[in-house]
Amino acid sequence: MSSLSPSIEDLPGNVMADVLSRLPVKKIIHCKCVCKNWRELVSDSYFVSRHLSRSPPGIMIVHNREPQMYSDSEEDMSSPKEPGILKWVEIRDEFGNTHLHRDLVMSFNLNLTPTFRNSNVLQVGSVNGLVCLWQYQNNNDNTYICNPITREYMSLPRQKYYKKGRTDIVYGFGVGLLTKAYKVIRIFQGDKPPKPASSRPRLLEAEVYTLGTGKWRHLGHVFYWLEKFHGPFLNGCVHWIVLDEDSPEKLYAFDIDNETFQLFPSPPCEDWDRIRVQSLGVLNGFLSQSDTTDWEFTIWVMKEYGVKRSWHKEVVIRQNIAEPRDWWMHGHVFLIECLKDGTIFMLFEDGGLLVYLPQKKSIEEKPLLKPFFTGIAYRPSFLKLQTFESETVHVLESSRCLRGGMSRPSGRRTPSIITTERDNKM
Amino acid sequence: MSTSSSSSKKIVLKSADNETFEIDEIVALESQAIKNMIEDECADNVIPLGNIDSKTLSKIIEYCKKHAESPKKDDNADIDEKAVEDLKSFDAEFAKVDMPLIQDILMAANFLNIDNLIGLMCRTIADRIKGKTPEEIRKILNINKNDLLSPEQEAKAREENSWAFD
Repeated sequence: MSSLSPSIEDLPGNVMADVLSRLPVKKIIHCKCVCKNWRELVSDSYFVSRHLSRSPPGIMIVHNREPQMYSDSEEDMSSPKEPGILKWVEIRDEFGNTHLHRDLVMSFNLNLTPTFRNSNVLQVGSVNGLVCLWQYQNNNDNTYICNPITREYMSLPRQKYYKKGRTDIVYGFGVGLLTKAYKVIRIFQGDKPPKPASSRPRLLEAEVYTLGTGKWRHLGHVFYWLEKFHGPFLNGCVHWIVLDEDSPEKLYAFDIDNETFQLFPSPPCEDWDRIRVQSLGVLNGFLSQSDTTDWEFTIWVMKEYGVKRSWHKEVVIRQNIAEPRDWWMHGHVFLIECLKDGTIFMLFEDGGLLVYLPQKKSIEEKPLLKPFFTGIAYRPSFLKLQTFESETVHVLESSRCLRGGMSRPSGRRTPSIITTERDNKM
Repeated sequence: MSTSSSSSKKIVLKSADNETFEIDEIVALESQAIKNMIEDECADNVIPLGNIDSKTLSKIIEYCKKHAESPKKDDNADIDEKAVEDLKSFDAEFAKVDMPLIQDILMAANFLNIDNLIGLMCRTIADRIKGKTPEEIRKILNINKNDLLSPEQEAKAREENSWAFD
């Protein structure tokens, strides 16, 4: 008697949301076609937060065929640029093994969307599945928020302090713990970095944009010169590295709710003046910092948020041990993600994926993607930009030939490892 | 259904088809809803469960008994591993039932507020539809025909998310 057999639709919506939130992102999108009920369910805020709570870690890549980090002011038209392919690399946890999923879940050519055509974009923050993009080359200085899963994006209006020449722009993107407001913070550093014995730079201006309000607000002067890379978001705050040598702490935090800046406890590093490059990240939910000196690479982890004495050295690799394959000690290393077993994913400069292997206590390169690319820690979500009232939301153009896997330009060899099937484990 | 320890306090559950199940209180406490009733002292000796049939209820009691007997995670880290494995294989066996029963168990577990069981059943359904097409999913889960998208709506949904349908 089929009329008496239970239908899945008799289940309360929250239980059904629980079922669907356990599926991979692509499968959830397929499920929107199963019935009207599910189509509504996936758009529901309860489902969105339920899914986010178990959303798998991953890396969002912006893949460029041309180097972008060092050609800031050059317009080399001889080699046509084909920049801006968004790619999501998933980190899977299967059968107790975590590994990078080599079959890309998603790949979008931003060039298909007129707004992004032939321009370079950099990811300057990601929270709850939303990615903040900065379009910065050729006199551009535009900010976008995008959700690659819903394909939505929106343009932020023009801010007061617009990039000219070699100005450094420092970004942060996060959500308030109490207000739940999504905000982009932007610091314009329109002066030379501080040298010892020089006076403090004057043109350091902060502006903030709350999603859904339609306008930037000027927050006034910032007191410290900051490392120009985007600040990682954790615990309701965005964090940056302070460059001023006379600052008592070498980190600076911006509270998204209160919109206040303050110095933040930094690692008790003895050789501050010997550090060549540094970066900040969030590993396993802890604020983390990497320091590279001539002789050592260190990853510090702050075990108790805000407590200075809780900083400890999680990883130390001496240059003479890493040698001769120590090339990664000669540039910026960005902390991306840490797995349960202690494996740490990092990106090198503008195009190298590095993995720290805790068993071997060493760092190796994973040739997963061709240079040049930049990346950011990313967790997919179904959070809709349309939730933010008064914002004009557009849709990214997608192309059939780019769907799913890597793009394969004709006549060009694709490294075999990229097309390897998913059972490749690290 | 008889239980071994005779000294402990008993609770009687009565199914929709009027079958009664006498169980140890500790087993009944796996259900947050029953636990609240007992704590609020609004539980009589017999708790009627008018929306759960005896087949479903006996499965649920089987599950609660096993989980009540198993050492809880925070008890002792040393003895845990074997118990955790044991419980895992019990859960895997437990979930090997047909889809209508899974849905009944899930519905009842939701009503009785048994967190682990809700999770197990949700995971089971998710696993069974993971590799299936929308059409297959409709069949597996007996989706109401009146709730289907029109061909135009489905085509639009596919077009909007073409990247996910390769």
